[in-house]
Amino acid sequence: MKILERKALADFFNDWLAEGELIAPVEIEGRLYFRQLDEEKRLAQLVWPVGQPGAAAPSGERPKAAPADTLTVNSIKEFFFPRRQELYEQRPEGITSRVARDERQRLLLFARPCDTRGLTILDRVFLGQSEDQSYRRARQITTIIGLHCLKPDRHCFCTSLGGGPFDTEGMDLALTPLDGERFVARGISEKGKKLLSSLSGNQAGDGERKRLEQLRKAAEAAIRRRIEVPDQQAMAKRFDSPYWGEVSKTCLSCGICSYLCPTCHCFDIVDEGYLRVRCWDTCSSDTFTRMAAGQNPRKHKYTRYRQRIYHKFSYFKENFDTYSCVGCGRCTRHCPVKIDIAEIVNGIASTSARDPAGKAAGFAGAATTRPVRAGTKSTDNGAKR
Amino acid sequence: MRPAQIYTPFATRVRELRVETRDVKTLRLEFEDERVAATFAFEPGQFVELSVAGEGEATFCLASSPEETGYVECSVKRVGLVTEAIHRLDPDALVGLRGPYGNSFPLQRMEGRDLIFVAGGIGLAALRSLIKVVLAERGKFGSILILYGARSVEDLVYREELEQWRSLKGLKTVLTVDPGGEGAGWKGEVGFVPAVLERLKPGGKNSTVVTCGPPIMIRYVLATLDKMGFDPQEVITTLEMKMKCGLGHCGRCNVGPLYVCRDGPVFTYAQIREFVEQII
Amino acid sequence: MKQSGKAAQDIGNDTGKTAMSLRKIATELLAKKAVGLVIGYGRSPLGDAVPLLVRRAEDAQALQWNQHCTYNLVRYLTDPEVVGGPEARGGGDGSGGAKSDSGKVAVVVKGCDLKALLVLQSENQVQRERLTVIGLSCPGLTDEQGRPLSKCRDCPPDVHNPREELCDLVVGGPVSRSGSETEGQQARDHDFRDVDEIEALSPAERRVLWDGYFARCLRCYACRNVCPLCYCKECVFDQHDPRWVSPAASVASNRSFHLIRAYHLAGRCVDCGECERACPVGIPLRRINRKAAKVVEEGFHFRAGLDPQAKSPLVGFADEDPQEFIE
Repeated sequence: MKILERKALADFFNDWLAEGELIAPVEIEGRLYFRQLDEEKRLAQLVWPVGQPGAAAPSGERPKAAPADTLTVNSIKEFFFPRRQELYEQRPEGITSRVARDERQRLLLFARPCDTRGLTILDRVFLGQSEDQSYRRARQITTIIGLHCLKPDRHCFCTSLGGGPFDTEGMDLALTPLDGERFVARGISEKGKKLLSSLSGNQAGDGERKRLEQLRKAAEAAIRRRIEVPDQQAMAKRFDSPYWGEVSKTCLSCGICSYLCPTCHCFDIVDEGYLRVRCWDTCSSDTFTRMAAGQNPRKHKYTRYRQRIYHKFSYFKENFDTYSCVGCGRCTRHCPVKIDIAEIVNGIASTSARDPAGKAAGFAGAATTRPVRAGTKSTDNGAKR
Repeated sequence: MRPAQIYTPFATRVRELRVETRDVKTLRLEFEDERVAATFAFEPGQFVELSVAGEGEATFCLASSPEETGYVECSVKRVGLVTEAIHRLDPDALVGLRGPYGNSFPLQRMEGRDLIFVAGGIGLAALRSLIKVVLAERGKFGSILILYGARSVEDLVYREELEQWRSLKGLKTVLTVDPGGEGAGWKGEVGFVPAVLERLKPGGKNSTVVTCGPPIMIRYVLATLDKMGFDPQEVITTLEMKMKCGLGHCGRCNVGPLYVCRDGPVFTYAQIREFVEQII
Repeated sequence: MKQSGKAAQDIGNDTGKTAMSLRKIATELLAKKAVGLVIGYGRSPLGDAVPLLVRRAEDAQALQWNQHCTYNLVRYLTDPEVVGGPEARGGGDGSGGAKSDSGKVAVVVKGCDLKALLVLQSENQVQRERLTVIGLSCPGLTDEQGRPLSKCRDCPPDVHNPREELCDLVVGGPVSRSGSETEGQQARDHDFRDVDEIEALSPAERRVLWDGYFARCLRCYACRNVCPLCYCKECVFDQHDPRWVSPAASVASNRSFHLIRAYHLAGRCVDCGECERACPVGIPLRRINRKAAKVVEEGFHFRAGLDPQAKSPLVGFADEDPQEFIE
């Protein structure tokens, strides 16, 4: 465990930029996004974490007025599973692969624990039974420097899914901001440990270790939002409940929740002229299960919303022994009608044979003024790898 | 033989495009690359994604027997963009092929059992590969019944094979058309496949049923088989839920915890019972 | 921040009192079975304002009204799964949405939302007699940080106090917003300042600006799906035979999406601003639609959402239409 100064990190990033790519949070018109830093503006674009609540933003490499401690709009999945990827070109004369082979090493900076954990969940899909070579390549050329969260917001609920604001799953190197200038750094993977040994900084002392522990406890305590996933049998029993029709009524069937989710991975394969292209798709869309002759098993909105919930909290668990959700809260944060996935999952337990729609009865739409069961301990529903 | 890039198809050329009915043609494809031609292997039940330049990809089950070397065959019903384009292909045209994907019929488990094949319309294509393999090793199996029906006489596919099967001893072939679909001189049955199935009363404890056809037919056949007391573990079907990538990645064919492209397309009724409405 | 929010409501509208009136009205309507469904605002356990669909009188207490209620609830009037319709299925309980003796629906609308309803009426997409329109006088909306929304800045008095002749009842008014007289006047004089700003740029600069936005677009279709006037059962972008525009997000296909949608909304969009609010990547969608609106105003002297009888000029053809451009 080392203490790294911001200057040392900035120098390291600059050196990296000479030979490789840097992906980091960037502020665009008041919102934070993970972006590849562009050639021209380089490190000046990077938004550094501010550190402790109340700590003044340091000068130096210019951080923006951005809400530096907010979660980025996008997750990091697009750097491994691109929004649009050219697969191959098929002309009448022949077929040529168009999958690009990235050569330059990438440093992915300040990924949050929910982001990196999400990536390990995507690994199960793309590096599983059938391996997606371009995904594997993207993983190989990327070093991930994660960032711990000092200020989770009200939408975060990683702790009830086996994660946490100071988690390190999926990171090569983990950074915890102590203040605007210093970070505690820990090597997590072999790659990360090697990297850390090449960076200069003092060993963390007792004071710093204690501080770290304080910050961790405070961050975990700040997470109030909880999810309690019913066991598989209960889920199976509720599949045909009118609950699903109620809770999904205000859904707009857009793609925001799927596209911003770190673990959603559905896609379409479409033709653009002779080019065959893979692009993100969403099971929320009313055309997702539409077939060539027009049949559509999920024509109705409630079947699609139900599919989303069951895929994430039942089927994926059955196939891969983990939920397909890391509690980052992006879906709720950005849903145009604030559909609350945790609330909906928590509400399943309120349904029963006698009261099939449970707490959703009569309240078609998002949840109600009836309170969620608060104060329950984090259950390790998400099995760690 | 795995491609270097998981999504890049093998290049194949059209050798034959046989007309079966007014909207079904059977496509025979040969691999351009000799090494692929020599090593491409599959089992009955598996499927491929065929693609035509500029028109897209679509899923087709392999209808030829794995023993037929030098080519593969798929039967294509004209329902949309890709299938329309396939119907219009010239000889020697380039067709992309990705696969084989999916699981296969449980041939070993079927040995020693009485087999009942129930197919409707283009659904016979999904069973053709299997039937050919079974007939080639006739001795390994018990009695065989092939029940096949279509909307009308003109919609029956594989006429040649049907004649061949009808003439074989040691298996019973029953053909039927929907009421109103019989032409003059039709000597087969008249009635919907599930109804004829019930009339025939095939079966016994030692039977395995394999069925494929239009969704509504499958549903009724499964219900009929249930009624007749068949063990759901011995009722096998193959599904067509819209598959895209074939690799269990894109999520389109996901139903319950199953991916039709990876855990299927061959399923026992026992496996899909809960999800029947979502799949078929 | 909160201070300026409060200053925006000088007289009338105490949102708490208005909420209470709303609840009372909704309870009565549902109890008497005058309507089978009330579409209004509620609050999620996380504290966010949300759209709320209430079917039982006792649940009407969950209705809320505050300055975060940005949703345009008219959007749900064309959703058969909400208001019922031949294809609607409620899932499980088979309610099909608005089940009641009268099959009627009550909807809570701010003045800006109401304009969208008028367009739907002019296009025969709603049966007005089936609706109970509850107009809300609005002091102006704010975002989560308490900052007033830009779309509320120029809201004229006859919008933030919905016209009584267009509603079945109006609650919470009248509201007077500070400075609203001059601002309202500006609005009535068709202030398209934000559009003019972009028109002042050179084509090359505009190209860079917009391509930057289109590069961010995820093609989530939130803008389309939240829009009360995008009600086509099969959207042109969902057609696959033929497929007109690639669904893969690229600058080129995103540009096509946004421009085509703007054309389909020209003369129909009422600038409720929901598209821009829904966009997760902050694309200034209102400006695209307002550009189209400006063209329609200058060419046809028409503004959408003011008259339930008046159809958009682009939806039909009249002999008096300007024709100088035809050679």
